[in-house]
Amino acid sequence: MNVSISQHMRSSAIVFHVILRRACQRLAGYIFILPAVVLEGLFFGYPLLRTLYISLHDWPVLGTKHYIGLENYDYILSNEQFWEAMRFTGLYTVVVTPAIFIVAFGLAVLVNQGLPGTTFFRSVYFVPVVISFVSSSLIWLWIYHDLYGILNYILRELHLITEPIVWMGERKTSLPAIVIMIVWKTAGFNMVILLAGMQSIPEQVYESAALDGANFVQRMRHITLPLLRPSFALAMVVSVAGSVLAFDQFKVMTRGGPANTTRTIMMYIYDTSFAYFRLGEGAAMAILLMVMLIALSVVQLRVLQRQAVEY
Amino acid sequence: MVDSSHTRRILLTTNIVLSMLFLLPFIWTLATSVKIPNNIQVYPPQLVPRPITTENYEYLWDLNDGIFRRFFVNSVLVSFGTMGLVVVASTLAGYSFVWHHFAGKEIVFVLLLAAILIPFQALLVPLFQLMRDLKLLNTYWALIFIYSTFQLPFSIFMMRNAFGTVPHALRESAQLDGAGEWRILRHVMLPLVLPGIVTVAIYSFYVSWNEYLVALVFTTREEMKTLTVGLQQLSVGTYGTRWETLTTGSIVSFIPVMLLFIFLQRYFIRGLTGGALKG
Repeated sequence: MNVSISQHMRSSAIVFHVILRRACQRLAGYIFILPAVVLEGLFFGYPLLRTLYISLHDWPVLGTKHYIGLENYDYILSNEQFWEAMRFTGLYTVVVTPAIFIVAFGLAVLVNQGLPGTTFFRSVYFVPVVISFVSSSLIWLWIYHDLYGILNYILRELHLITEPIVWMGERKTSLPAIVIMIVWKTAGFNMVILLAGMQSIPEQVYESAALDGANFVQRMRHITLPLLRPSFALAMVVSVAGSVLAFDQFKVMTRGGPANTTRTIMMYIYDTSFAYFRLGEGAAMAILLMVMLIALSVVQLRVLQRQAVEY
Repeated sequence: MVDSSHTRRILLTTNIVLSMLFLLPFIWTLATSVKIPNNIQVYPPQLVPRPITTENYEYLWDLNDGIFRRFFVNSVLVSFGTMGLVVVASTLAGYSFVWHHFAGKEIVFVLLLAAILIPFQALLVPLFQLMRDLKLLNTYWALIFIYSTFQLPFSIFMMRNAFGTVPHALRESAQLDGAGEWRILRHVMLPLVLPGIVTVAIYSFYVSWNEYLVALVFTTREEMKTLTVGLQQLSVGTYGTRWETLTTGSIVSFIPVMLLFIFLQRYFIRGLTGGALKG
């Protein structure tokens, strides 16, 4: 009897131990994701829902808020300033995206040829990626200086211009100037993504194409570009989102001027929310921007992936 | 891959010319920063600085009772704070997602990943109100919390992949030896996922160091501003542009991220491409 009791006690101790251990494990699982979940809940989930809520109110910084339904959205969609900012953001994205990718693809091809010094060149093209958009905008402002800038000096020495160009004076010149700065700043990043894609193309594909007598250009067109579609898709989605959200470079270089002709949608949201303190309107624009951006990403992925399948 | 030595020579020359063009803005900034102020705004531009001076750096260092030093320190604290929080939270979460089974795990993970789709720019208004209510405006914590929140989804994804490569048997044998959760994580797992941690750390430091919009919205008091906001205001401030401050300050702001890039290039590129590039 004594034996059976002790056996019984031991086996129930083991059962208890196993249950405790399982519970501990489950608990540990929860405890370990807790910091991340708290942060995401408080500073992401809650603000996300709250943006929706704010966007349905007239919400001045002083005084009282009141519910106005979809009036903010109504007002925004009939507001010419909003559409002007949207059009400019669209224009900028349409101009800068191909510029970035043509240069990035060229660079990726250049550093994928097994030439001497490849690692060095790859690093050099990547260096501008590591600095901020703000300091990169600042140092290019100095390059673009109308009187003492190095660019106007070179152009004048080459007799391409006679009078110095005031690059930031009007959109006709400031937009291409900023696009060039952004290409310099971001091409290296996209080069790296495309390069990763190129390295995953099997060498044999090129070898058999070379045996068939395909030259460099033909191999690029019929092998590299089609097989690179997934890499392009990934890089494009990231790059286009960055352009649609452009803020730093225009805030620093043109301040949206002259006469708001280079004001991006993000700058307009910033002005509305934090300069005019029309929070409801700012939140409603943020919602519109978010929906647009997600739709844009989905469409890009669909289009680029469908073509990849067709090939 | 290249056909002839002729093509090779053309490609090599192109590389050399292009890399010079890519480095030119840096060289020109550095050259300007070591000129005496009287030699900066001159035409034609002085291509080689003569004499070379460190006076702009000394001036910047002591400007307005060392406000630039303060900006620098603010950026260092915010960036390291973010790095610490992101590394701890993403390591714990990554470990949990791979090695623990609990109800709702898949839903939580999918929700976290969906957060990558939504830019922080869209949430500035409620975040501003939240930080105001929490009395966190003009503190390091406002920036650290926001930066961490928006880097976590990617970092957790990264750490989950890192923990996923650790063999099952390793954890089981450690458990048989009687090691508890904490000991397994610290002594068995951490050494194996260290490359992932370095990547996450570098990436979060880099993003925080360079961020502008959040810093602009959440810090209005001069002494709480970070380097990006402070440098922009110091150099193209209300009293006209000061080119010597702009170039000198930019060079100083490049130093930490450049050092990271030079010494930890592999991790750096991996962090930015989500591990897509070999070598």
